[in-house]
Amino acid sequence: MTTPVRSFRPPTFPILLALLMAAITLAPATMAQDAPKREGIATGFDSIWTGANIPTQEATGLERIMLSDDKILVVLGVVLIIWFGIIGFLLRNDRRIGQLERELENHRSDF
Amino acid sequence: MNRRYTLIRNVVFVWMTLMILGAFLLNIPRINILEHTARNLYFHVPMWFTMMAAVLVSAWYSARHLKTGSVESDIRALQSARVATLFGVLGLATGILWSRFTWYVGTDVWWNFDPRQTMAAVQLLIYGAYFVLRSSFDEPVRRGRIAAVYNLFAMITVPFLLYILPRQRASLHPGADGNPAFDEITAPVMRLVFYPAVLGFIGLFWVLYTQRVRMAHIKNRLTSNPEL
Amino acid sequence: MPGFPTAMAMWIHGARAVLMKELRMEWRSRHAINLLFMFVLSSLLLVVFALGTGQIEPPLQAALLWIVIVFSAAVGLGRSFLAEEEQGTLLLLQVNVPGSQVLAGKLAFNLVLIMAVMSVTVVAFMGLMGMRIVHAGLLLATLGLGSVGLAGATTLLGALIAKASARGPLLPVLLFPMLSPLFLSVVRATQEALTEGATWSGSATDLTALVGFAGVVNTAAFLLFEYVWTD
Repeated sequence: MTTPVRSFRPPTFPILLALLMAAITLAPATMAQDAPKREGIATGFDSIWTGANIPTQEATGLERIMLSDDKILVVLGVVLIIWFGIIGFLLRNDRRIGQLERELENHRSDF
Repeated sequence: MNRRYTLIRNVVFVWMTLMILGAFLLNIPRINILEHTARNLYFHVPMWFTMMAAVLVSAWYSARHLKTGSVESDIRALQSARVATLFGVLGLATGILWSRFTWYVGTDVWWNFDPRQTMAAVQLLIYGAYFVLRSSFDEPVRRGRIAAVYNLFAMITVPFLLYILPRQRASLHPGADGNPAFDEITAPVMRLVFYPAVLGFIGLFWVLYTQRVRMAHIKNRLTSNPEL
Repeated sequence: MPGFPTAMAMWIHGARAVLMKELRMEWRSRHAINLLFMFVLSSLLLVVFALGTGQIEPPLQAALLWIVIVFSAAVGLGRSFLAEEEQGTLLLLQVNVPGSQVLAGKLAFNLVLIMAVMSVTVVAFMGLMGMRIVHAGLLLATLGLGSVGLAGATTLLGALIAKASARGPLLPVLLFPMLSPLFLSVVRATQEALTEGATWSGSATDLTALVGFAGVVNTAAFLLFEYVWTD
């Protein structure tokens, strides 16, 4: 009596795949419909971003430093962020290796 | 020591060195406002690509873990999620720095809810919840299974942000509506460095991830608990 | 061996049995529903106290409405699997009913709870905060689709949390990141329904996203639930 009940399962996997595919393929089409419109092809790239009216003031302190030498220091900052991120990751690895070494020692002394 | 790992690791290190040299030494066309920051294309954008690759690897191994129940797959899913988090954070941090001193000069804007920024942030939140969920289990088998279910379940909701976010906020990224496509603004000489940079950073992800997987194996051998 | 229609009818029968059992249990104690109503009312009172008596604009109303709904869902809906685990009835259910039917029953029960919470919240917002509904159909569709998505997400996550050894307030942590697409589109559609000159086409994209979200979350819940259930 119970076997046929168990044999019916909602066909979830194909439905899920179809829905996800539809969602991903439809997204660009709907996106284009009514995103905030801006004029000019390179607006976002040759002036202060026009999507919002943000009050601006004179470049000060930190900005004056970052903007010098054609903004090469911004690139330096980005590279340094990545480098420090990788260093942080390696340091954490180091700590874990230390823990493993201690655990290995405990293991040895058990015998 | 695995020969394949050593070989790929050495290739990645040389490759990245050459990429960084190319990134700073090759002359690129000057664009107003962007100036030298155009070179950030080689460093900031690959973070996003690498995070996507790591997210896919993590999802793949979560699905594998559910199918086979192997500890190996669980270790790989967790560790690639960890490295994905690293690259996601780096992508957000570099993006913040770049936009602040390029398009937001003279303002106090550090975070603008750019669609891609928001998507990356949501993915990072999901991984944060994933790590928290893992820490609330004592038993490794159950922890692996439940965490894999959550990883897959939460991840499939992220594509829906593609519908909603672009309508709320304009984007600074190329290819978004109203902005030029990537092909139109990227000079050929920049692609010479950009594509190798993407490959190099994905290789770097592979190296970091493989190191962590090996450590988790040792931990599992020593304590029967792969959680690093 | 009965044919496909019989098997499906029996599947629905099993799911309904689980739903009826949940409803009966709830009717006896009224624990979850009281908890939810108290949460909704007290958070509403806090909102009203904080904002004073001035007129609130529709965008803010929509955001507050959904914050109250989503938070009360996160507080009150994680209980159903936890209760089975605590009362030791889990094994009995596992032996007697296949996983997908259990999920279907629990999901329907959570859907009922969410819809009750939503109607209370909407009525309270109309009464206490002067919320004016311009496009009732759009608001109903938004609430309906939102509740289906919310029920799918909370039910599966509730099943996950019931397995954890250190529980604490896990559900909000797990729920909110994956709810962001639902939350954003539902708030936008509600804003549209509350402002003058609302049309269906004005929130077409949001409704599509909601249909997709609800469909994907629920099918994924059925797909993944097997792995949580047969533990």
